[in-house]
Amino acid sequence: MLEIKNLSKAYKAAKGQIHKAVDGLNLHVKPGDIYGFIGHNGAGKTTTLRCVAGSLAFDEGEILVDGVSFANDPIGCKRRMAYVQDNPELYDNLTAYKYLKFIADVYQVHSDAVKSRVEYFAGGFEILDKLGDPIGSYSHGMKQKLALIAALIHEPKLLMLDEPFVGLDPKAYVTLRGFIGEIRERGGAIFFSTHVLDVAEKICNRVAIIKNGKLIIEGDMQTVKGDTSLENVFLELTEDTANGD
Amino acid sequence: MVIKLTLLYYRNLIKAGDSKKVVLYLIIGLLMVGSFGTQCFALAASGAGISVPVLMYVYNCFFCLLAGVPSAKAVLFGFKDYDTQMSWPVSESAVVASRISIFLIAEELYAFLLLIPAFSAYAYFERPGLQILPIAIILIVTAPVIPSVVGSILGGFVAWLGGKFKGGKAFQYIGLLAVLIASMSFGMLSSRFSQPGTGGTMAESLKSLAARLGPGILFANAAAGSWLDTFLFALLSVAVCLIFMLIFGRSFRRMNSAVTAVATRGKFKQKKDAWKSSGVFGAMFKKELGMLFGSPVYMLNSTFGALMLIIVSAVVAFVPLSKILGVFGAPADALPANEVMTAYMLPYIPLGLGWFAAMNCTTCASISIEGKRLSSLVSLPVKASRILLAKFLVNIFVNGVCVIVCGVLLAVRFKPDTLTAVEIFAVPLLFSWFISALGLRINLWLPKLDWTTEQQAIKQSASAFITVFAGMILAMVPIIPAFLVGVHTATLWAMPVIALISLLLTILIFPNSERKLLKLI
Repeated sequence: MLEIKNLSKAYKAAKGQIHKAVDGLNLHVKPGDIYGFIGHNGAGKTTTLRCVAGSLAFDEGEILVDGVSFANDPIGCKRRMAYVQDNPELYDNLTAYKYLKFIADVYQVHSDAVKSRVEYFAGGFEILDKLGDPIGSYSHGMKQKLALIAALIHEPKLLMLDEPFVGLDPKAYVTLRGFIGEIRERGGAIFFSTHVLDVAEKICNRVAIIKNGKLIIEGDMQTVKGDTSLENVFLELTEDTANGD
Repeated sequence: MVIKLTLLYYRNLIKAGDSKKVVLYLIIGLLMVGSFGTQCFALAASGAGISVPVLMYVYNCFFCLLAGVPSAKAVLFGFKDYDTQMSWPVSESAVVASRISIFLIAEELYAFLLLIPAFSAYAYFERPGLQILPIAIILIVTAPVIPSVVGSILGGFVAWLGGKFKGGKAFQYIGLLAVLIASMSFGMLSSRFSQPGTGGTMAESLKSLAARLGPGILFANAAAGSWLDTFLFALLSVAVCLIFMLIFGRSFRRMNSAVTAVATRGKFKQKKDAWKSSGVFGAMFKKELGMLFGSPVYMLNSTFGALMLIIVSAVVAFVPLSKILGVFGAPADALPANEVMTAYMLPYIPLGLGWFAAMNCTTCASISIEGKRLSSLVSLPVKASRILLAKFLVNIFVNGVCVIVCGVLLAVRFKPDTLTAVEIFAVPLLFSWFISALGLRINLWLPKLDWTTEQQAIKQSASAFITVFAGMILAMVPIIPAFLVGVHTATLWAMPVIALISLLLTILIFPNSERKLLKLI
């Protein structure tokens, strides 16, 4: 579903130096995967997600979504996926209804499908009654829910989420897990970054740990964590590499 | 602490190392001082004397009120880092004082632009002695305080009422528009005193006009050299500012909640065709329109030219020319018949409309207003060129609707010949194309995405400054040859030139759109 081959992205740092945020990253997210992407702050998770989402130009490498190369058909790639930022910046002056209508039109979803999906997803997150209100009147959690609905509305094959569980109430968290499960059942994939390792351990079947833009370990959850917890593996591996191992 | 908080705002506005913008601001500032300075020196040279600073004070009040009303909500209330600032171990009154300082420093710009040239011209021609220097400094510093406070109270009140009920946004527009038109009427009224050569009569007339402003009479006497009036004017300004700070500071949190409240609309009901598709481009275009009309600050600042276009056209169409000129101080008995004046002025109307159309620019802030959302926008499955095209066409659309309404109105009223009729529609539409392309190109070059108030992106950005100023100046260029080679010839020559420049600017925008947008993120 998602293939990242030798991805590199560097930023200009102070005094003309170059900071490599992502350095030769290779990942393969298969259909049906719930793929956790883990790393310290500044490890390169968001940069990777933004490169895949198409909101950041990358320096080297190749990204393929559902077999379609980003370099050859960026619009086709974007149409197959959805990306929710960790702190969704929405249009405060628009109503939630207008925003969802905008997204549905951009992804060319049929009006009947939009109606039923909005009822399903907004009903699930319990904000259906509030869709007529301006987004500016929404709380942070409601904005997060709205961004998730907007991402789910076109039934993406690949759903990318940056820290999706921050700001959600417990009920919404359970609801989101349900929606994620449905994407998986129909052959889609979920690729998400998180710092909440308990959650990652519970819901992901595959995981990758990244440090300083480089992949440290990647594979099935069971293989990666073995007999210990994901938290222990993460701490052990990131400390090891920090010591130069 | 107040200074630190105030500097935080301005440091964010102009980032360290962003020397390109500082230089541009300085160039524009100098050009504007030069422009007002020319007017002031021309007036002073004709013997207007003390009337020059008084007239510029009247203009200063007009500009401060005009700018202050829509700015109040954006700068004083609901700024993005409100919660962060209020959570710091800083007194509430320090936050309030810093917000008012930010507001007043921005308004001080008008006093610098208008009163420095005015006092310079007055001092050069009238030689009032060295005492004018400290008096002028005190008056320039304190001049914007009272109109700005009045503007912010009015703006805050309109915003508060607008947030109280469903459809409050429409009320906000109407309220702000009413204040805008009232301020403009006042500005027009004052312009009748700017006719040179009327000497003492003009000074007296301006004094009586200034007296209508309340503290204005103190300013007029102070500018004439009275230390007592200077002291009283400064004292009054400082007192008004302190009282405002005190009242504002005592209930800042409550006022902020009231002003920033967004009226909810109750239970959402899906209409039958609620989700009927608009197509990809239709969606982008509607989103742009929604952003424009969803923000009173964006709409009023960016569609000022369109409003002027409608107001001026309606006035010209329905009010006899002799009455219009009478408002500007022209003696009615010395004017030719209305028909004669109409025949003379009619060919100039297309260029006049074009000038107003060139003042209407939504595109110069259309990238900046996206802020951090630009990243999400670029990740949508839409070609970047379409994103830009939607932004570009919104300005053409707003201007186009106004040009058609105004054109029909004027064509019906004046029954022009075919060529003039075509020009009435074509010239402002060409200028709309020009300013839309210029604004978008400049905003791509100088975006302001890390704003904390919409005001920073819309009004205080280098892009908006340059576009509006360049548009106004460049749109006046064809008027000069009109007096030399005849207005029809000048207009006919200007049209292809404007079209060519607009085409070149458009070509500069759309190729490699994706790369251009990604570079900004």
